[in-house]
Amino acid sequence: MTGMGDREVLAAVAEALIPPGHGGPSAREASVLEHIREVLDIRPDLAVPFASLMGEAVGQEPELWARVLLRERPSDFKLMTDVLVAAWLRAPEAREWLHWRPIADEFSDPDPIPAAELAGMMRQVSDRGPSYRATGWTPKGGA
Amino acid sequence: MSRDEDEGDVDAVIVGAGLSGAITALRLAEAGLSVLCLEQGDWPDRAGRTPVHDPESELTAERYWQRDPDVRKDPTDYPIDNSASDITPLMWNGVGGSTVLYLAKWNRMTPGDFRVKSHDGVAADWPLSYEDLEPYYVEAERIMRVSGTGGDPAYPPGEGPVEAGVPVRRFGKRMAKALNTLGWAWWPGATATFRGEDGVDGLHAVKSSVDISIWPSALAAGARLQTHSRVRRVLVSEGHAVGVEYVDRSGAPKMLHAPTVILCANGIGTPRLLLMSATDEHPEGVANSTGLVGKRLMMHPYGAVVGVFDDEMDSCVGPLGQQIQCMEFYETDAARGFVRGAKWGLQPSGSAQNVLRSYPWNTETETAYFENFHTTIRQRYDHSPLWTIIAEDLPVESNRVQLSPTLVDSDGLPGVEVHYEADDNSRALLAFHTGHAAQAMTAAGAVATISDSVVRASGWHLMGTAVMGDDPAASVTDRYGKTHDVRGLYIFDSSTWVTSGGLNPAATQSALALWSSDHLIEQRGETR
Repeated sequence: MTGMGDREVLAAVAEALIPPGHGGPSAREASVLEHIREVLDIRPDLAVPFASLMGEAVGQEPELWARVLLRERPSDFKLMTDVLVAAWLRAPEAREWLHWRPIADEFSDPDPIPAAELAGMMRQVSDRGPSYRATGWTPKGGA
Repeated sequence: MSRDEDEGDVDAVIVGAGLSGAITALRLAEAGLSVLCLEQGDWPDRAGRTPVHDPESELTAERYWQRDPDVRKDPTDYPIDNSASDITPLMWNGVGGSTVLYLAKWNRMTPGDFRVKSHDGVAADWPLSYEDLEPYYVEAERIMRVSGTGGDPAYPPGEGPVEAGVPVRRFGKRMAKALNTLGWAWWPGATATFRGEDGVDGLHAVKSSVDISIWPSALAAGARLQTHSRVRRVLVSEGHAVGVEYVDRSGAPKMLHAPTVILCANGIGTPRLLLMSATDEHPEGVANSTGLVGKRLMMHPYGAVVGVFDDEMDSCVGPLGQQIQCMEFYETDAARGFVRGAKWGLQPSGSAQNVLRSYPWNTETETAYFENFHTTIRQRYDHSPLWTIIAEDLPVESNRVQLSPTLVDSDGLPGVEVHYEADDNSRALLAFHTGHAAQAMTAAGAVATISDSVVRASGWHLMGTAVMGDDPAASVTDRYGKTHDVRGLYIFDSSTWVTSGGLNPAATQSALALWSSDHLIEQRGETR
């Protein structure tokens, strides 16, 4: 990671946003700084605005600066967290802890509801009769 | 057959290659008309851009498949100033239109949706009925290969979707049981997806985006499609449309002569084009003797409710379309203090990044970071199905689209301003519905719920800005989309909608495009 301002400041901001806790890796434990380059390689359009934004954090108290950003500049806060969370999610230890799966993954319950069970559940609805507001029309051949 | 041919004079020119334009092109070409569709954008680059099912898509979707044209800023987009709007308009300008990005939820309007004035004393009745459209709904479901389960008591009996419904999974089943306990009606959700052939995006269920599902058939039938062709004016002579003027991919102005011009550019693009077509003879824009062009914009105020469950719910995987839907509170009940209603659709909440930043989570952003980060992401990810709530939007003339005096697109044509305020009825409606959707989540076992009403980034459904009607003094088109003012000029997109219904509009818009196309074909036969 180069050209994004002070690495220590960036690490401190990332650690404030994603601190240790609850058995999951913190930003530092997930080597977020090392993964940021991968993220920006995939999203080069974010590189300049992210570097510019993080440059503003230099000389600031990291957590306080991030909290002010959240309150006063939500779109910039989103930019920052989009990159940092994406970097965190690239860490194998983060994915393992979260049980991360790609969105096109198979359902973990591959078998849908048995047809008979679903039909029974639907029958409870249809037995209550039509819920639409009638306008006097009947379909061809009758209802 | 060609995906992208040069123009020539034709029987009909269609402006816009989205849902309405694709269906119209197919229908007219099959009837033997010479049809050319002009599209300002390009074919979606499904191979070159990271597909939505790619593991990197969590990161790339907002860049390559950005839904907000003012963020996307593609040269083929036009700028939209939404600073005076409660809702941000969303769209995809290119072949397939917004079906490239839609979730393919497929819901017919109900019979009562066409009779709002008669039933509830508000807005207006449509000049056509559910029974008029019913055969076209059936045909649209065939063309779009809609999956679903017939017999939903929210609709009159009749033919249902042609494809077997997408299976109801874990959280859909959980919710269906809860709704049965509450005595609230639900049904498996219909979606324009089909159990796909392997190789189409590699998905198991293929979404029926019209660049995939309709345009190949339309081109095979003889329709022609020309991309990177931005129409800047409808040409009118002696009260008759005679063609269009457009800018081609090189930036050169071109003229195309056609006795029939059909606008399918969506509820913002179509009024924009009509207003841009103003001349000394039509100083307020073409087909705008009523002054209604651009007015009555409806965008479906949108609510969202997630439930957080202790159990894994499979809410991070699979198609985002609705597993089940609920229309228990769809019809008006005066005791609620508002008129009309909404449909709920139950869907996954999506990726790990999504559960930290999208609606309705963005109402509680601070709790997602700092000392709460791990707790929050683990509670939400894969544990949080989402109710999305489409509120019926009543037409108000002050909600409008107008040309921007300052913004221009990459060809120097005016952008638009959108003025839109969700009214008291919409806000009361959404407060009721989000409250009840949260109640359903709790009944299904959710340990927490988070709600958002009038979600800003939700303006997919753009309707009403060139309203249809029988009275030329109070409407822009007739019931078939033919403009009252200009012979040969038609509007086949959702600009013509009288009211919005309270559900996703693709089904009705598809049926309307077929209905209008068939009438045009019939009229053409009679005048030969």
